[in-house]
Amino acid sequence: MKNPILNWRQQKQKYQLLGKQGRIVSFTKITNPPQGFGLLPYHVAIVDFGKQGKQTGQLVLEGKIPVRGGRVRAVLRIIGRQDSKELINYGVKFKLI
Amino acid sequence: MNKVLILGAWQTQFGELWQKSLDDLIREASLKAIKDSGLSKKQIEIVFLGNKLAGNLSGQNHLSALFAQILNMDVPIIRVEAACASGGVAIRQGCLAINSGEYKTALVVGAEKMTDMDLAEVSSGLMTAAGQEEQDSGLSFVGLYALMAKTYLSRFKAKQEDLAYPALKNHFHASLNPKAHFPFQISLRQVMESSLIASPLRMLECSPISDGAAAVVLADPKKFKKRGRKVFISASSQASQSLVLSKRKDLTEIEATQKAACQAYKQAGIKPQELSLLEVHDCFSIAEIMALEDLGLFDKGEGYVRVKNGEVRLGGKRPVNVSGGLKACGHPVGATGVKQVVEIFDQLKQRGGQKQVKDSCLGLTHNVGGTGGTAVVHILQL
Repeated sequence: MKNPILNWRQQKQKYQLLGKQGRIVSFTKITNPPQGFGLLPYHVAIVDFGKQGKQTGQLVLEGKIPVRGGRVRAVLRIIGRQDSKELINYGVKFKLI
Repeated sequence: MNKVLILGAWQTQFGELWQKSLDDLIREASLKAIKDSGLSKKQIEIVFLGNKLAGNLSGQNHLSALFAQILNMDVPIIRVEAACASGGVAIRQGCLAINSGEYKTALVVGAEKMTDMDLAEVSSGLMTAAGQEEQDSGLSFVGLYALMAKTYLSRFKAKQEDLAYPALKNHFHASLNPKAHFPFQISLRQVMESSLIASPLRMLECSPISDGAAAVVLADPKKFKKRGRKVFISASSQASQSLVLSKRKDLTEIEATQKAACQAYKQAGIKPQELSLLEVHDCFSIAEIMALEDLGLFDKGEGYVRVKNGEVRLGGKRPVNVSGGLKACGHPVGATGVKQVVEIFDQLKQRGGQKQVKDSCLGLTHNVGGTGGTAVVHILQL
């Protein structure tokens, strides 16, 4: 289980990206995930947010197809959950626009 | 750096070794390397032990004391951890110890026991070598190298199929290596039909989870006048860069490899084109292609073509990964960097068996930690 204090400290920095727009540098479709990431498949990208730098995160496709250079917006989403007794881990994902 | 003499070396079988513990692997590699050196155990003055996952997978982090117990030794023993470059960095520490003048001999061991735990636990352990944002995003190391592969394919107009050729070559080499995890050949069709793990990388383009160990005995050449074909480490260099891929300028290269290689060529006074053979870090097929370019053998974007045309295959101009590489010889992470040195040592001693490279006299090893946060290069010569 992820330590809530650790999670909060890391997310403080991540949440600064919420609402910001960036462009996909590279992305991959994960079909064989690490522990705690059960909903398959999912896409992960490195996104360039200009002055805010580059950040890694999952993509929210909503029916769209990702491409290199494609535009995304940082949104709040559930990131992962080991089981029903644990804290829900919220974080930033990148929604295709 | 002053040259360091290699007196002896040994690699255990690599693979899924259910009957062998971490202790067994360390014991076999160490004692057989010492025997090969012609020294006695009492003549070893310091030990460096490369390992990454014993804390996660064997419940043991105090490996120096464990080693003292297994080998019944009381000299300084230092555990070295640098992700998948643990073995290479341990070799470098051994060279520095000899060069310091404080020690005349050093034993360097790399060992890893990975197959006792299930895949999810091993994968979680390995991901501790990646950045937090990468772990939180649900990436594995296949996913991280897939991000690099995707950029490479797009920039250099390569096809997905082009990524398969390092795997085909390395399986051919492993078919000649009785100590390899996968001593058999595979076909292009098998690679292209294997499961997609993280696009564009498929299962047969990924190195396996392996058990294994390797060891070398290093010595000060001024103190040991060994007869016969002598093999020296003439360059040892290491460089670093950011832990996470998102902080890198270019995803189609690893700057730490470029810097370490540049320093190594300068130390040894050679050019990359003079090398007889190389053992490079092919944890994924794209990693070998990028390594050959970063090491200065080929121009950017040319690596995949040169691998495909057979130039780096046994019998070609400059064979790469004749052991089978990480892909087919296996990748017990802490052992890999040491195994690379063992392979080049055996080749220069003309005891490479069926995979012997003719007239080999100058070899290079290249070991990477994580996605390139650490890179170590060694040059071996007669």
